[in-house]
Amino acid sequence: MPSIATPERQTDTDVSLDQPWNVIIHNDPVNLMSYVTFVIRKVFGYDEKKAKVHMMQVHKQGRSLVWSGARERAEHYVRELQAHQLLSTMEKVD
Amino acid sequence: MRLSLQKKSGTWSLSEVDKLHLELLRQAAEDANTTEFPQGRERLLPPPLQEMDAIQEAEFLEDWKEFVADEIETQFTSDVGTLLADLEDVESYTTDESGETTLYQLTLPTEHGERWFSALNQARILLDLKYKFHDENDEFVADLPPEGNESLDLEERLAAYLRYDFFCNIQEWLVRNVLSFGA
Repeated sequence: MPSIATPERQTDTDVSLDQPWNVIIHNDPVNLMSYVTFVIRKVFGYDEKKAKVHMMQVHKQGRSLVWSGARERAEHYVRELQAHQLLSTMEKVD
Repeated sequence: MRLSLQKKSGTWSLSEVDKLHLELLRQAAEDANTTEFPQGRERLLPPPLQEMDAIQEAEFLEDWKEFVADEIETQFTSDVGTLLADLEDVESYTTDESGETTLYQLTLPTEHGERWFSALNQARILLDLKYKFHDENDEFVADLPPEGNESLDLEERLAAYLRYDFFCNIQEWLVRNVLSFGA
């Protein structure tokens, strides 16, 4: 019976995989405010009030953190936002 | 110059469309073309990470470019194609007995609303970049200073702004009346 080597624990990798990511929408001068609100509601399922708060943050502060969580989900959301032509990125939570 | 937009069950329609409207709408396809406009393509298909994270994520960014951006670009091209194909099906009618005034109308399925919105939005995004309608603070720039803008024809810029504004009006109506969360 062959001996089974105990794998080394790669703590850094585990931490990296678990580290949450933020999804950010950035302001641009072209997208309509009504459309930005619509897309936030459609992509994240937020109610109109919450979506409008994010839209106004984008408009007035230049960006809004719209969601935080697992990397894979963040990638999905950024893809959806970009498919709707909103400027968006994901960034690691510090 | 008047164009009517109406929402009905399962469809929406444009009527009282004149030849100029039709020309402007067809022009949207050209305005949305990034073939010789790499800066526009980069705006429509930006990297998903900001610079700070991008340094550590080169492989991810390559994959994104190859798979995700490519897929989104195909979707954008298809949206513009839908708008052009729909415009091929426009119906003409006359508004007076003499038959001298020809107008056009078009009835479209609700699902095409989002595709039209996308095509018109691509056009406006690229027009904005190309003709510098907004400055770095996103403020509208009515008059461009001549220095550094020698290549921009001012009449062309004005015509581009008229299209930008026309598309914007249709989009505003679409987002309020046609786009749905299920589409």
